[in-house]
Amino acid sequence: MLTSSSPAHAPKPTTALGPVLIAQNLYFQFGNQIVLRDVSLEVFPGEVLAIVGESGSGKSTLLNLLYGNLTPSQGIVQAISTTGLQPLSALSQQTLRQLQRSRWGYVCQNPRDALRMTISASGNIIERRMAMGLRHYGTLRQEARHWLEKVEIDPARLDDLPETFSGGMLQRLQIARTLISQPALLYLDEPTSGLDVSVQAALLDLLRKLVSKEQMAVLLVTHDLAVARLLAQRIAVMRHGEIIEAGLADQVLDDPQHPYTQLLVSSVLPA
Amino acid sequence: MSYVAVKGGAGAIGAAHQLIAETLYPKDNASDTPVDQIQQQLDQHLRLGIDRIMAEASLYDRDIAAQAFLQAQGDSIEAVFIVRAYRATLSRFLDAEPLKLSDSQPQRHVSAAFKDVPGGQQLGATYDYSHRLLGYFLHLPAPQNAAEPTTKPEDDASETRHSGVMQLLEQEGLIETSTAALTEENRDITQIPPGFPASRAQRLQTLARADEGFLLGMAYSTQRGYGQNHPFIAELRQGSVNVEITPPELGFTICIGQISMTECQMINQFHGDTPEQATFTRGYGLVFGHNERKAIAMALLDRALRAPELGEKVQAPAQDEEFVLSHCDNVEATGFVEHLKLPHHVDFQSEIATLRALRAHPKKGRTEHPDGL
Amino acid sequence: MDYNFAYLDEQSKRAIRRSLLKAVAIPGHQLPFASREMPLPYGWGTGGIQLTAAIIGKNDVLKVIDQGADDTTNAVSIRQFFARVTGVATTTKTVKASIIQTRHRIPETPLQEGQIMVYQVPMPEPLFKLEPRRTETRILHALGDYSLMYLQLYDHITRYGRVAIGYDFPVMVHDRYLMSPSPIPAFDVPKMHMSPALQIFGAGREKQLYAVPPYSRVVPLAFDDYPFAPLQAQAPCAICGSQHSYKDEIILDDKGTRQYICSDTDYCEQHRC
Repeated sequence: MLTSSSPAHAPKPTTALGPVLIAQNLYFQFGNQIVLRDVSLEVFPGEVLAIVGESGSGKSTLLNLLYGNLTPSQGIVQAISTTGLQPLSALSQQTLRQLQRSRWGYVCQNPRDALRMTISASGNIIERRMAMGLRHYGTLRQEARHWLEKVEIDPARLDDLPETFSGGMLQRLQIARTLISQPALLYLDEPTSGLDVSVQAALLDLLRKLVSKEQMAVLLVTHDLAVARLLAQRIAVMRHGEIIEAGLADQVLDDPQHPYTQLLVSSVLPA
Repeated sequence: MSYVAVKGGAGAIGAAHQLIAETLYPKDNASDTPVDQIQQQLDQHLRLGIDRIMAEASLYDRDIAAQAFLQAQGDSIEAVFIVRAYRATLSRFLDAEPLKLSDSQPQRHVSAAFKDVPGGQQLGATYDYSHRLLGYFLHLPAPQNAAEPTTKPEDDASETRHSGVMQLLEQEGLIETSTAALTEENRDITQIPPGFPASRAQRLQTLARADEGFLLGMAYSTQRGYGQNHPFIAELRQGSVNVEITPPELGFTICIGQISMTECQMINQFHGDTPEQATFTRGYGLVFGHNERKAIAMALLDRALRAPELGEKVQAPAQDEEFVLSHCDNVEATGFVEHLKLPHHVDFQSEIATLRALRAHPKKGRTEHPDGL
Repeated sequence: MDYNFAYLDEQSKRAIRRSLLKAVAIPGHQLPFASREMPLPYGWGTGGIQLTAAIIGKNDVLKVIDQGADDTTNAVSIRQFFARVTGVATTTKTVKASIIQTRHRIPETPLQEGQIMVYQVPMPEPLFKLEPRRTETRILHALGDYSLMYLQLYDHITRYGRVAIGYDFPVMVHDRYLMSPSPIPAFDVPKMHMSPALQIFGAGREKQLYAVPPYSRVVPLAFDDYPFAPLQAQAPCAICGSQHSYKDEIILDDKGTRQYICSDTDYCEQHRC
């Protein structure tokens, strides 16, 4: 069942399913400045790939390229669509948007950027389902309640405005709003960075539960190695716009090869 | 005419004023009408212009306004400025009793929310349904029914008092009750300047003397989605109303004259989280003279600015109290915008010197690949 | 002063007609047009007036209504304007008119093939209350992304138990474009669906026009379990007794006594005899 198409540095999980995201030799530049240099990666169903690095390493730019918000200067991104893998450059804006709102999901660091703050919590949750054509109010309510419970928010808050929610609850709401369409591919951009440590832990736990239940492929961008260790099976380390080391999470964190990774690991994790 | 600003400019300033005086009061024109007659004609032929000046100057005096209008050569903001400066010299001896607008004899009375209302719709003198064709009023067709007088008969005099549309809606519980309490602190913004957040009374006073064009533009933005509020005019009323005072030495109320006012009562989108709580909300506009445009705009803005009070999110410029109230006064605005004409060469000189210094010592080329992009 | 037939010059009228043809070809889609100042103010119906001016011919018979009535001030004014600048015949009878210009109503009398309804539109963008930037709403139309509007309906049902939109009820045209039917009461919206008449919409101040060709699907937004349910007439007409027409509410006295009469004056007259 194994194929030999994956890049050498990326060990592949044993699964019968092919990748849902492939990036090949991506370059990206702002003016004369090269932001990304020859980045390749693959993500498979059911796995979490973490991209770690300091701020400015190019990891957020990479995420935007992989999500279709930016176009690479060179290289190809292919991602799962309704008809299998498709190069993003071949998609119309309309198709891209539909994919972003159904087959894919994106959870950003600041939930206020993603939520509609003047619409009730339940309205936020079911927006994707309405965009996908569900037109039954009762069913929408049911699904909203179901997902509110899934992200462990009191169902009594169903029709409250997000304005009245705490930071951690807002992030849970964003997760419910995103996962309701059961995306095959999920992008997480520093999902817990803005939160208190205790809130972070609970949220990471929840994310791990939700992600492992569905056969979702997850691309996680974080500067926090602890978050990567908790969620990811594989880790890619970025520096100066390049992936300098990649491998299974334990391997990268416990036996880093590149001097920069060694520095990163030793500076964050207690020795 | 060349001049050297600031220093030695006295001669130039004197000459500049002489030029204006010659335009205003030409000496060699024998057939010229005396100035006081021109002022009278202004009030007669350009009534609405005079009304606007009185409203923005917040001083009801037709003669003073006409005099200022003439002195400003028709520049209404300059005229407002002159009247405001005059107003500042007036001492204040009494507050009038609240105006009884519903008792006034309306020259105009219009409801857009209802086809007919107590007191009747009265069209009055309006451009509303005229066609904007040059000479339109010179070639009007003869009235269709000659027996019907062009003005409405005054149905038996001033005792007829009709309840307002708002009162009727209030009786049915369909509209919120009115909320603008007058306190000692917010009684007059020209005596006690308001801060932020302002009370509704302070806001309304500020809007009443605000620049018509500014209010119009802001109000228009609310209709186009930037702070929208679903307005319906419940009642628009223009007419003369008695001004009454109660001198303490007399102990009873006397009428000291009549002024023309325009009032707009606006019904707005309903509000409330449950069906039982849902009611319409209010917007209010009141202006000196005959100025429906400004009264309506004011009512729209009053409602938009009530957003925080009604639990709405402040998102649009028109809902931002500090933004609207700080920039709506045309005397303040024209002063600061036009002051850019004044000499600024000391400041500018230092800017030039700084820029020259920057350019003389260019920084070394940037690092090709800085850490942290 | 002498003006060209229907006020505007022929070139301007032709340009508007070209935009109208395109609008008919893309039902419900808003098109920009070079709107001009008319001798009536913006908000009084300059969009409708320009459309009527562009399509009217010497043999047309024009009816103008405002709030359903031929005798309301604005309707009178616009009718007089066209009588003056075209000399065409005018009528108050729906069945006799070839062009009906309207503000806020659709006549109760069913329209027929060959008739043209000209709607005066204040805000052509159905999404403007939810997203004020036209640069954004144009993208949403292009993508057919109307979840914003559905969210509003959802929110209404949650808060009020029903969709609380009384007029200007959003409709889908031919399953593609979300459209403002103009501020007609929701009561009138079903009359647009599969209408044998051509329906054109003009917004002068916003410089947009759009169209619904004859026999087009015009479907108000709704949920399967909360179907479109416009409020019906509250009482029979005090003049003609009609149970089925849309009514004006008249306040009779200071005690707030109300009376209901047909807003469509022509219909009321026909129905009386």
